[in-house]
Amino acid sequence: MVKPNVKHKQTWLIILWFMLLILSFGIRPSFSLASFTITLKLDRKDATLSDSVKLTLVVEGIQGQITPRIPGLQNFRVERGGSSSFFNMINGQVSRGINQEFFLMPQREGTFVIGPAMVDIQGKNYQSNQVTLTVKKVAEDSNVQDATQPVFMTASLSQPSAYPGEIVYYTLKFYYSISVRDLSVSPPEIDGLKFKQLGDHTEYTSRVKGKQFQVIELKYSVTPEQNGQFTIPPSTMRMNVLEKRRGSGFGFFNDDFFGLTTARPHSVGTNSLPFETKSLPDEGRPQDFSGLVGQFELQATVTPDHVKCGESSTFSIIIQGKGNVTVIPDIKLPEISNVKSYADQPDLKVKETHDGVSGIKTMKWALVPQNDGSITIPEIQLSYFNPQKETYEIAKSKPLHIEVLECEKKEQLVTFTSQSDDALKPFKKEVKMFNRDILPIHHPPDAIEPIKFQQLHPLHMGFLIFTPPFLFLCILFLNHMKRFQKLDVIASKKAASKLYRELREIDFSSDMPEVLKALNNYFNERMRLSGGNLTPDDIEKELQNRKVSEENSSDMKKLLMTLEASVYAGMQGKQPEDIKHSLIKRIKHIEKEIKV
Amino acid sequence: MICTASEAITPVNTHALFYDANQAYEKGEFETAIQKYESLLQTIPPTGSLYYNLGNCYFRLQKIGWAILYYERAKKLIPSDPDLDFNLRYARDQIEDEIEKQTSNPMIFMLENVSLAELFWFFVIINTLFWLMLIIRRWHQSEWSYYVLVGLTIIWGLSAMSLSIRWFNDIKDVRGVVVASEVIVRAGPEQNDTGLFKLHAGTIVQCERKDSEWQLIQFTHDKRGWVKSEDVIQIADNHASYF
Repeated sequence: MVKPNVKHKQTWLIILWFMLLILSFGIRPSFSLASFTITLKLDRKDATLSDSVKLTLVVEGIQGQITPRIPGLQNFRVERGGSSSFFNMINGQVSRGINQEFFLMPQREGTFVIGPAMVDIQGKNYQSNQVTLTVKKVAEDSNVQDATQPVFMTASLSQPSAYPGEIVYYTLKFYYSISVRDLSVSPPEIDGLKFKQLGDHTEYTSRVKGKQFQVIELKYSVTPEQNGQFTIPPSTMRMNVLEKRRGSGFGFFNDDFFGLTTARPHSVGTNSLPFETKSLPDEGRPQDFSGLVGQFELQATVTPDHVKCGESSTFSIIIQGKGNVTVIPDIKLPEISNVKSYADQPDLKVKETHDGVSGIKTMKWALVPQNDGSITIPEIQLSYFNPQKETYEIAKSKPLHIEVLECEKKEQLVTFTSQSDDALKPFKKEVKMFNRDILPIHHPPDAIEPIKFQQLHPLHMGFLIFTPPFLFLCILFLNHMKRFQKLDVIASKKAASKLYRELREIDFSSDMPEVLKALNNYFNERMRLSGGNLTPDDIEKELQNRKVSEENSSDMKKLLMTLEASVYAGMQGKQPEDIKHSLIKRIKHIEKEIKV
Repeated sequence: MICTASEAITPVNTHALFYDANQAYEKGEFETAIQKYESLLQTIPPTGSLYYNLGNCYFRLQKIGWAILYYERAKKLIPSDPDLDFNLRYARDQIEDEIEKQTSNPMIFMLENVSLAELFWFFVIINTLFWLMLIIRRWHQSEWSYYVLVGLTIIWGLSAMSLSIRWFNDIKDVRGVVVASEVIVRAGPEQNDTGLFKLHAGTIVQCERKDSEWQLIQFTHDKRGWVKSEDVIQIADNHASYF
């Protein structure tokens, strides 16, 4: 039998095991214990000599102090901004890390590459990305003279004219040196030009004519849809400007939280900007001009370039660049003799950020040579218009070759090849969805049958839940009553032995009242009566109720009357010892017959 | 969509109406199918499949907001249905707004694929076994019954907690779906109040309170505002009451 202490320990172990088992089905956090990522970010890409730029280093996967090394900061005065740690749990995925901030004050003009930042973690060196910052002497925005106002906004175009398809960038900068809230702005709307916000807004500080401003910058791509001259209407920023109420002179309480400021609606606007869309020149336009406007590169690769007969090789074309990337055409693979080709679905990734709109399109084919020898894939060309050079250009790839090793006998080409043979790798295509649609409706008749749970009344639910504990409590109660009765029965059975003990100790010659008292207690306990004083008649009646014979109960009554007479009337009959013996004998008879 | 059927719908012809609605859907008469499904909802307790079919009809009509609303209502009743999961994922991909990731309690995340009915019945069974084992232990105290009771106690506690959490979440579900194609969220419950941000059809928001024709909603912790009540419908439907 297990000892109690050991049993308790086992119980707790089992409870712990169960909890861990059940929780492991619910929580599936992923801790990247061994992978770290380091990212370098700037709050803006352009600055002037009077600005300060925030550089943030984010290290994911660790917590604690780090000492990074960041090259490229020799042209800046650097001040530490502080560090903080973060811990996120999103949909069961856990991530944690450190942010460190630095403020850079440029010392001279130019374009500077900062990074990569290097951090030693657990004895290994990890590197981040690089970032680029362009520092100019003065801001190029118009309306800089508005720096006398506490709030103003400027609008600028990256260039005043563009070709159809060429993307121009429209930048709004909202400067404010007072408290504002509830900002809302809508881009200009004009037929023939399509505006689209690029990424989220950025915020930074800037100095204009010696005054410090907070700046919110929004960038839009502007795509001309038709030729002509346009005037981009002004953009308006609406806001509520917070003003101090009269009498609220205490600086600490100037915060809007304390209700001592009021909000005054205000708006600022920009100037309108002229813009022209020029037609693409006809001179030099290739016949197969793709319609692309921007700067593009084309790369072609083939892997592997040495294959066995019947094996496949993957031919990839990657077109990347800046401009109207969404219209990058699907390249048609020229016919190559003795080669079967299987085209994959082209993949286009467009990136719209504050740096502009760029994209990369990847097209792949599986080429399966049918004969041995050398196969040449001719050069691939892509024509586009470069608006910076104002000429049509052609991006080309180099011709590529695939060497096909001598085919084995044709009969063997038909043999079954094992999948486990690494030397012969069958071409497997990734299954990609080329279309999406919803699944059909539910038809079965039981689709509209309500589930049992919906048909339950709250009383039914209560009945189902509370009936088992109610039954348990009833059984508990009945058990308790039975045990109580048993105790009662046990106690009553012990009454006789208790009486014999008392009678042995009592002196019958001088202490008869004690005898009566002991007998009274005996009858009360034995017959489970209320405990009051019992007369001889009561005792006779109760004894007969409990199946004691008439003779015995009547004898008992006479004996009790004799005892009472000797106590109350002082009458002496039998000798005390005789009385004692008679009493004990009578009690024994009663004990044999009584049924309680 | 208001049902205007004049004939009484008896239990016998609910199946006929359902069949007609399905036929209308197959023929491409989606508006007719919606009317028939809606009239069924007026008379019988809603089922997951009924909501699912309604979601499909609205999806075909390219009303993504309404489609997602009905898919979400179906998800409360049949959360593990694979067809519903597939269609809801596809519909969610059509939402224009970027949904910001929200942190979630792992326990609640685990309960999303189990319906309230399933949790309830599981608890009823475990509850019955638990008390039955207690009764058995009154007379038969063996070692095996002891360990079985310990295990049942843990499962009973966890299932009671799960049922309570899930029931509470269902009662306190204040999520709403933007059903208008585009809605401007304003700073106040008036048409000329400042517009703060835009939301598009299918986006899920938290509905806080109503003020005549307007209601206050929250998209993220820093994006709150007022919209017209008709543009955002709450997922928790009175039809979906279990009583």
